[in-house]
Amino acid sequence: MHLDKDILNRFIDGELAPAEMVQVAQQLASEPGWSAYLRSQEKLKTVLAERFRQVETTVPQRLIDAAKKAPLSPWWTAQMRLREILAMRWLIPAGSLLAASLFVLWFAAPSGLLMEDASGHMIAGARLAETLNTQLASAGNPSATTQIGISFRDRTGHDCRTFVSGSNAGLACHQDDAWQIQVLASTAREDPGAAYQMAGAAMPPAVRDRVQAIIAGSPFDAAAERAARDRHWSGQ
Amino acid sequence: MELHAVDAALQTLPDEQREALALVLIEGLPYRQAADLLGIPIGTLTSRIGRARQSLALALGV
Repeated sequence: MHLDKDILNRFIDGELAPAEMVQVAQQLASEPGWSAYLRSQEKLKTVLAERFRQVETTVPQRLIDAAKKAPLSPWWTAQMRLREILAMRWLIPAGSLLAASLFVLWFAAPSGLLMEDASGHMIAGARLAETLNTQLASAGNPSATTQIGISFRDRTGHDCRTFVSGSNAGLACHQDDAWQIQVLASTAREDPGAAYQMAGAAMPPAVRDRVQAIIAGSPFDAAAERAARDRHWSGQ
Repeated sequence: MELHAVDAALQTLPDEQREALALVLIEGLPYRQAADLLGIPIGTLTSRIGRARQSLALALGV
């Protein structure tokens, strides 16, 4: 794919198809010439996020009213609900770093990234759950839409895995027959050289910090990862 | 960065660009939804966002 600013803008905004998102991310890793532009645009998003509430007033009232009355799709309604949930649970206590990430969080959701269980917990959707259940990072699958980072056991005995899907990264732990989402964040970071690498190497600080907070021992090696999968991530 | 500088930069944008940018980058609407809301083709929306981004980045020195 030929990279240009239009493509990169759509990439940053999560407007490309999942396969295209992965392809662009891979190309960016090998085409550092775009790093200045990416850095500029991520900085711009951060600045706008910091000005979020005030900037809302720049949207004409007629559009705000129209947006509230518009017959939104079930998908978009779900994303707004997701946005509210994420804002309540993670973004406010986590501060502006994650707030800046909000812009891209919901774009992966239509492909089955997240859902809410009966208790209101955020859990992996069907497609992500399937990936978390079956995909071995040690086996390698660079063409997969969702990439698995590291797997490990947490201090409460649950098996956990990090993942990257499009421009989102997260941590999920297997509990009560579901993958409970512990944290979700954008892979966009301040250091553009590493901003769009895939899998565990480019885990956002929020994900990395959460891993460090709950991990018991070391991440699984290939044999342990395979064994955990064969035990259906049942933990200890 | 001074927040008033952001406001000032936003105010320099033509209304059509500021609307497109705000709906997508701030309100978080998908391109399609924003284009429908503004009553413009998605290609037009994309180009407005691109021009707005470029102008803001230049104005803010980011």
